Amino acid sequence: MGQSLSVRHLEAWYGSNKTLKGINMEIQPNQVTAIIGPSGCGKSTFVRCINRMHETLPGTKVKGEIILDGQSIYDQDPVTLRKTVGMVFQKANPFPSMSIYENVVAGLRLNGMKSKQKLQASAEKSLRMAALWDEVKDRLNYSGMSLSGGQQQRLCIARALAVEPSVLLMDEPASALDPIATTHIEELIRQLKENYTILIVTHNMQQAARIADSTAFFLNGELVEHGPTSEIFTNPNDKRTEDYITGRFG
Amino acid sequence: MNDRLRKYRNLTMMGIFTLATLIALIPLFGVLGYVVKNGFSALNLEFFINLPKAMGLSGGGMANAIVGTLIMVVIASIIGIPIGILTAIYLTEYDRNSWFSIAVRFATDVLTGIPSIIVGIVIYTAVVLKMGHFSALAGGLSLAIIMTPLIIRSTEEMLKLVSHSIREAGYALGISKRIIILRIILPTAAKGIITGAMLAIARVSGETAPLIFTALGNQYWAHSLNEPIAALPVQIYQYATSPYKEWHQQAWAGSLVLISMVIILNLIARLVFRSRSN
Amino acid sequence: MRQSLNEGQLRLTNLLKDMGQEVERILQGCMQVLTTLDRGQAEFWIAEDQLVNNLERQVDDACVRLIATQQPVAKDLRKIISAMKISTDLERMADLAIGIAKVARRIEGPLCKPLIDIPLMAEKALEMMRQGLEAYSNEDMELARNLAAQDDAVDHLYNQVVRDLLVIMTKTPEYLDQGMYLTFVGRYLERFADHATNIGENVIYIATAERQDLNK
Repeated sequence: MGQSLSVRHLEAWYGSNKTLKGINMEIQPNQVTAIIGPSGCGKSTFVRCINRMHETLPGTKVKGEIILDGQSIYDQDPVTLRKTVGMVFQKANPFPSMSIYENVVAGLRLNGMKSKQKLQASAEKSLRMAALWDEVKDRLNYSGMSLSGGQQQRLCIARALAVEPSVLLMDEPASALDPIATTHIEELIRQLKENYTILIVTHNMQQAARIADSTAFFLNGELVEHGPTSEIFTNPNDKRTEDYITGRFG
Repeated sequence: MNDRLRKYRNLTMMGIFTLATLIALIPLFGVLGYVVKNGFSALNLEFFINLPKAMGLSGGGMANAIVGTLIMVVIASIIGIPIGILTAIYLTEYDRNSWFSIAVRFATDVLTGIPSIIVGIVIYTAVVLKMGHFSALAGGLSLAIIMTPLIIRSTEEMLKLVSHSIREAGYALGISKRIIILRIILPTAAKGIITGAMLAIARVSGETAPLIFTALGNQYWAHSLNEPIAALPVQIYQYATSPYKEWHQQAWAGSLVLISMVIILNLIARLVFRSRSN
Repeated sequence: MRQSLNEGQLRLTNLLKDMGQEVERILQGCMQVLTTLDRGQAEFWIAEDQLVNNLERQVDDACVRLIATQQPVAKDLRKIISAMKISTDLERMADLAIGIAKVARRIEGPLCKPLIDIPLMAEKALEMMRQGLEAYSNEDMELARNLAAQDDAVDHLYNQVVRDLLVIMTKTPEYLDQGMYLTFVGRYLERFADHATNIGENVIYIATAERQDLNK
């Protein structure tokens, strides 16, 4: 169900600042790929290029190829692309004017789906996948903002899943959460990878080590190293990678 | 020693701030008090139902003025609120940084500060003279011109308050921009926008100068929007500047009604803002 | 929770169990050689340690990977570190078993006396290894502590074997070399049992973070 991604010579600018300097990367389907690196290395920019969110900011430019399941993402309408490539953000952002139920099905309903049966079925399925159903099934009408931080983030994950993407991008999804909520999210990601290709940006290396199948290390807009997680964390090829993961950076 | 000195200084400053606040409140309560005291006695059922009577006669009312104000405020709202909200949406969602939007914002700011009598004179020249007569339409139009910049400003502020991450969440779900605006951003900013609109209405319902040049006033019921029409502030002005005691009393009563309208609108606006979140 | 860590630990335990089975197979084979004194059989068993060595390397790699990727702490960490140590013990036990085959290769038959105590030592030592691994798998402290008494029994048997062989070697000097070789075998089995006891010590360390000496 997940799809593979091929990134070729990706360059990105923010104003006159070149934030990505030519990234080449193959992302395997049905795996968790973690992107680690120090602040400002371009990892968030990279991920936002994949669902073409980078372009929505003023003053940005992108060059290069990103091929999703055989088709270039620049050949598609970005709005359609984002139904295939979903995103979860660092700070949970449920829609304040909507209830829990409305939030989960927002991606479907606001795109024209009218059938109540389908919407309700989708809501339950997505909330179950996000391990939130049992906690909210009796208060689906309550405001999305009435949940705790960790629950809100799972709500956002359910909302992203309801659209049935094949790739899920997660930009530091647990960085605003306490350790227990973080563990919940990590377990969730482990389960999700059976059906989705997951790309997760994280500044928490231990998290990457715990949940990712493969890890990519970014530095100053370049991809320094990309390989199986156990190898990266036991015997990386590049000295820069080793310096970063051992905490001996600059 | 230092501690005590500091304590006294703190108390003194606090005393000064409190005193200033009390002084600032004096005009507000003074005005309210005067209006209530003088207007209450003249307030009765006839005031709300009857047309003005000739000088010297008692039992007249300001029914036509009240209705006239309502009609012109409605006209102003029908014109001003949609244009104001749509402009604010354009400035926030479509075009934040170009020369054009900077110019529009500047113009809006200037317009909020324009003396309303100038608006009245302009509409007088552009509409009343062209049409050849005073009218409720002209009055409503001048009020709209005053109202629109206020609504643009307040709506824009409320839209900017909607966190950008909400918009991003919408984009990330593959929702098109116009639907994000209509069904996510507007509902989120709704209560703020409504509050802004109500405050603009309250402000505009008290405008006198422009109406003198456009609606003129009317001792009787207006039978169409193309005729001169009475308005509360204008009627109050005319009665207050007259030499007749009964009319002075009516002016106080009218003032009380007008101030009550403004206060009620303000209260409702505040209640709306505080509610709508479960 | 921590599914990955749990799965990793389960894999480790199974690797150790596989090693234990291999060690058992090798020891039983080598003890057979001691009875048959077949040179060909001896050569076969002497070369049979490849799988055990391979498994030891796998355990080491798995431990390193688990520590790097799962950042275990407290008991989880102790269990994984102990797996590394136990695999070393098991590898040494395989070496000791093969030592028996090497010794048997040198013995010129027939044997000076029927072997009773030595096979008994082997049986007890194997049972200790099985119990040690079970104690690790179930984190069973009682079972681990019990190994101390069993080690005492094996030591006692060893002393008996040495005494008996001394008598034979003094009375019948033509059996001097056999006596010497059989003493070696006894020594190997006594050390085999010591390594099995180490497994028990590791289990206690996992549970209490303390190191106790069960070998007396």
